[in-house]
Order: sequence, then C-alpha cells, then structure tokens
Amino acid sequence: MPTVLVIDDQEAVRLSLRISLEAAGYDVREAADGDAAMSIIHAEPVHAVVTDLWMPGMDGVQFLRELRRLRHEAVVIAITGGGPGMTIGAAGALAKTWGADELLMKPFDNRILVQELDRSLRA
Amino acid sequence: MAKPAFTLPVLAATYVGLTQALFPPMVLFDVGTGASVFFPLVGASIAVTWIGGPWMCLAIFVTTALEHPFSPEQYLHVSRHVLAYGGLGLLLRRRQVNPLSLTARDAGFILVGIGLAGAASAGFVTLHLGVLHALPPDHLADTLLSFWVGDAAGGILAVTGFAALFRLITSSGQSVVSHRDEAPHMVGFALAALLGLIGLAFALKALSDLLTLSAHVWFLLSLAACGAAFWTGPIIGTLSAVTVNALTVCLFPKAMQSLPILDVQLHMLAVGAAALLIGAARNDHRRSIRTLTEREHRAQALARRNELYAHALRSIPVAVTIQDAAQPGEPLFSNSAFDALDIPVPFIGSTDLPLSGQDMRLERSDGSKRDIRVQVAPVRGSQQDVVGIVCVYRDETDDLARMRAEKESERMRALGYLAGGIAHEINNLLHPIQNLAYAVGQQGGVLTEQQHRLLSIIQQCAIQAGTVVHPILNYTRTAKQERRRLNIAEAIRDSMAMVSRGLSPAIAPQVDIADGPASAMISPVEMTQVLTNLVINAAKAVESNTAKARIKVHGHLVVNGDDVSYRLTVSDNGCGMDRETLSRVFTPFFTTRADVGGTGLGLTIVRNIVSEWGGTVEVNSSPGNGCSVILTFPASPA
Repeated sequence: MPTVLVIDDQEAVRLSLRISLEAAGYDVREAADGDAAMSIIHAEPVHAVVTDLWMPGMDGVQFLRELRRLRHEAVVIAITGGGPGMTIGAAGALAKTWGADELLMKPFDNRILVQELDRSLRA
Repeated sequence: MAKPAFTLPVLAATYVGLTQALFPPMVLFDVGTGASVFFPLVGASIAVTWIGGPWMCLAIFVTTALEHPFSPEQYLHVSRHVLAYGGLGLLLRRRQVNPLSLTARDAGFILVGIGLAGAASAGFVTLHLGVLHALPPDHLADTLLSFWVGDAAGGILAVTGFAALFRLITSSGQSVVSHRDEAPHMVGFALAALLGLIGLAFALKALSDLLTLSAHVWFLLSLAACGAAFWTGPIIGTLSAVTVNALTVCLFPKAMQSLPILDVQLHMLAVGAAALLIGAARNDHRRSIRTLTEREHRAQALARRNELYAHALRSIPVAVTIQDAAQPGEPLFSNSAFDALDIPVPFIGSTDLPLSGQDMRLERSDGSKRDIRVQVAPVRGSQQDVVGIVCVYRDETDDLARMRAEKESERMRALGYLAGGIAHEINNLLHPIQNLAYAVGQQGGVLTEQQHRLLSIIQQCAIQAGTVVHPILNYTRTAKQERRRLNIAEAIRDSMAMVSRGLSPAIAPQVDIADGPASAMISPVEMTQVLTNLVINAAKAVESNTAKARIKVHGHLVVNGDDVSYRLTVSDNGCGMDRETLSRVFTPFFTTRADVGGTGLGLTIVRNIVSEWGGTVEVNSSPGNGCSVILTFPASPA
C-alpha cells in the first residue's frame, strides 16, 4: 500500500485529505509543517507527498527544496489556498521550479487529488 | 608690492656707503680746478630718490653730516644738491619709469631734467660763490659751467646704473620688467640727438681741438661706447660710456688738461647722452617687438581658451543655458544637451534669483509635455550685480513616470498581499468544508435523502465560495508588469541608478555588471523592486558600521551547455543572520525590523518575482559574516 505524506498546518485540511486518501487505499502520514515532514521522510519510505506551500516554520517551498536536495523520488502534489503574495502565477512558478508534479488550488475536490496520485503511482 | 620694513634703511645705507666709496676716485675725473668730467654722485642722488622716495633726501644730508658735521656752509651746499637732484628723482618717481627698461622718452625726460637741475644748481652756486667769495665774473662763469656740465655728465651716465641697483634692493627679487606700450623705432630720434650733440660740440670748437693724435683714439673709443649702447641697452651703454670716459681721463691726462675744460666736458656729455638715448631707443624697439609677440601669444592663448570653454560648455552632458539678465527668456547660449531637450527657455527674471530648483512642465515643439527641473544661478559681474542667469535643466519625465509606475505597482502588490492572505485563510476553511461534507455523504446508509441533499448544498456552497475567492488571488496579477526581452545589464544599471538615489553616499553600492548582450524576459519595474528590496536589506545590515560598509551588486551570465542563466548577487559585509532567522527569511510578514518599519515582505516579493521569471533565490549568511542573496534566472546570451 503506497504511503502518502500530507503536510498542511490546518488540521481540518489534513483530516479531509486523510479520509479521501485512505478511502482510496493509501496509507497516510500527516505533518503540520516542513520540519515534522522532514522527520517522517527520514524515518520511513514515502511514495507521495501532498504539501501546502505556505505554512509557518519550514514552509512548503523550503521543504520541496530540501526534498530535491535529498534526491527523494516521491511524487509531489503541491496544494495551496494562496497567501500573501502567493498568486496563482507565483504558486505555479514556485511549484514548477521546485519540481512539484502538480499544483492544486484550494478548495479542490479531493477526488481530483486521488486521481492524480493514482495516475502517478499506479500507472 | 609689499616691501619689507627694513628696505628703506638698507637703501639709505647703501646710498651713503656708495657715495663715501665713490668720493675719493672722483679726483680722477677732475680736468681742471673744481671741474670734473663725470660726477657720479649726482646720478646716485637722482636714482636713490627716484627709487626710494622723499625719505631718501635725508640720506643725501647724511653724506654731508658724515664729512662736515658742523659746517652750515656744507649743509647749504648740499641743500641745492637735494633740491635739484632729489627733486628730479622724485619727478621720475611720479612718472614711475622702470630703470631696467628705459624708453627713449624716459631718457629724454632724464636729459631735460638734468638740464633743469643743472640750471637750478648753477643758480645756487652763483648765489653761494657770489656771496661768500666775490670772485671775478669770468672765472665765475667758467667754473659754474664746469660744475654744471660735470654734474650733468654724472647724472646722465650714472643714473640708470644706480637706479637699477637701488631697484634691485627694493624689488624683493620680483621682476621689474614693465610692459608699457611705447611707440617703436626711436633709433632714428636717438641718432638725431647724437648728431645734434656732436654739432653742438663743433659749435663750441671742441671737436677741432680734440682731433689731435691722442684725442683721435679717444673719439674712436667714444664711438665704440655708442655702438655698445646701441646693441645692449641703457645699462651696458651707460657703463661703457663711463668706462670710456674714465679710461680717457686716465690715459690722456695731458691731452685733457691741455684742452679747454668745457669742451672736454661737453664732448663727454655728448657721448654719454648719446649712449643713453641710443641704448634706450634700442631697448624700446626690442621691447615693442617682444610686446607685440607676447600680445599675439596672449591673444592666441585667449582665443584657444575661449574656444575650449565654448566646446566644453556645448559638450557638457547636462542641459545648460546662459541668459542676459537684461533680456531674460532669450538665451545668449544653449548647449547641445539643451537643444536635444527641445523645450523653450523659461522666463526667469533676475528678481527670482537665486532658485535652488524649480519643477516646470514645458511643452516640446511636437506638443508633448516634459517635466523639467530647473536650477538657476546668477552670474555676477565685477560689481557683484547680476549680469546673467545660468540655468541647468534636468528632464525628469521618465524618472517620474517610472516612479509613479513603481509606486502603483507597490500599491497593487501590497493590496494583493493583503487579499492573498485573506484568500488563503478562506480557502483553507473551504477545502475541509467541501471535502468533509462529501466524505460524510459517502458514509452510506446512515443518512436520509434530505440529509444527502443538505450535504450536497454545503459542498456546492463551498465550491462556489472558492470560485468567488479565486479571482482575488488572480487580482494581484494585475500588478504584474508587462515583461519583455530586456538587456539585463542595462536593466540592472537603470534600476541601481534609482535605488542608489535613496542611499547615503557612504554606503553606495559597488556595481559590477558584466556588459554584454545577455537578455531576459523581465520588466524594469520588477527589476527595480527586486534590487530595492535587496539593497535596502543590505543597507540596513551595514548601517551600524558605515565606515567599513561594502555593498556589492554583481551580475554575470552563466552558460552551462544549452542551459543559459543570469546570476545576480547582492552581497554585504553587514551583521549577517543566524540559522533560525535564515530559515524564515522567505516567510511573509517575518521581519527582524518591525520596530523600524520592516514589513517582512521584502524577500517574499523578491522570491515571487524571480519565481515568475522562472528563477530561484538563494540566501547565504552567518552571524557577523554578511549576507549574499543570489538570484538565478533564465537568460539568453543574445
């Protein structure tokens, strides 16, 4: 069962993602910021990462950069509800720059996320 | 010319010493009882009062006081000397004649003066001798004339030499050559004077007696003296004549004594006067040539300088006009930079002066309006009155437009940041609402149809709310500048010119940008925003030690196979950052300078702009080791 690491500072967001992903047969790990996510990455195998871009502490962009530095091969889907200065254009550019496979703007239907993960991990 | 305080006493002492030393050899020039052919003390007296002024008359009295301190007769005798020769010296002083470059006119003046002085002294001697000695009239006349002629010879022959000596004492080593413009070609006048004097000697039947064997030699020597005078000027001429006379008296004493005293004296006087006149005329001629050449040189130099000034003024890369204060609004001069502005000359009356700077909106000939900053300075004449007005113009239209665009962009960006923050919060709430409502609906069997419908409505509302919020995130895109392919080095330089304006010169950034055709899809306003944020951060970091502050902006093209990027680094040697701060530099609203107005958006803005260029931002820093921010973005080498 592939493991998906969900990183978001909002617990409700994490919960909704966990429900949808577990229903789709994924093993879900949660982290509230980049630092906690990094600990999980180092501790166990992760096949996919769903990460918010703008969070307190180590944010999504820094986390992605660190992940690339580690040459981790997880599928990455960036999610964002925007943020100060985080326009759709800027978010897209950042996600692209740091190697996210997909960017989804909140609120999105979790089924789209599951479809993307299925396509990338089970193809 | 400021003279040292001791100059006049030194001059007086020199005069007294000179007269004491010269008095004994005077006997050599005696060709008869009490009749000298050359009495140089007369020349010394004229020269000392000429150069030293009225106080030197006292020095003349001192010479008598040294020899005959208790003789009223001698004081009376020297009084006529002082009046006659001292007076002539003072007359020359009034004319301010330069003894080293005596002109023919000066020499003529001296001759006439000597004649007048001689006549005056003759009067005194007549009175003196007539009263005290009651001599027979013929002897009296003969002796008086001898005195007169001997004194005149001394005056003529010695005055220039002594005057030069005294001038040397008072001039403190400064040049005494004057540049008076006298009529040239006085040689003819001098030769005529010589012939006239020789004619006078003939008339007195002196020449026929002198043309004996020994006198013949003397006459030839006299001519040599005139020749020397002709070629070398008044001083050498005078010295030559003196030498010839002295030698003649010494070599041919018998001849001298066998001839009538007056004839000998007159002839010697003629030689001396001619030498003086010819020398002066020659000098005059030479100086007039020199003056002419110098004047030409000066005129040429002046013309060259004026030409240089005019060219320099025209080539100054700042627009400049010069107006006549009497006719403001009509420029006397405008340079190329002003002509290129194509604006009218503004009317500035001299009553408006001085203006440190005034913003004007002026219309070009094509109708477009330009924002011009005019700085005005008065041109003051010798009386400190305003004779002209200099204006310096600076076209600020483009800068103002750019500043306005930047301000607008800043405003939009700030608004976007605010909206983005709100949108983020709402979206993060909408997302669980939408998806959890769906999740509840999926837990089959438990819910009624009505409950399913309600959950679906919640879901739809969340989706709809999302569509309302999304344009807010796109709204900030309106602040995004039109990007076009720009020369990167030029864009950086233009931006730095704007950025540096707001900084203290002590921490002016050192800009090291490789020139070249490298270009990128960027906007000038964005480049200015990026550099403003980075340079202001650097300036804040170094402000505690501006003396050693160093801010560098360094940029170059990096070519790695087909991958071409531009690397722009802004570094400082300021306080640096610790790991904790460094890890949060890109967090919006994170700032260490909240107390001094930091918004915590600087690096976030930089990162977002550079991201939109398709580039990355890297920050390297440690406490005490400064900071460098490296921007890398796609570029094209062409």
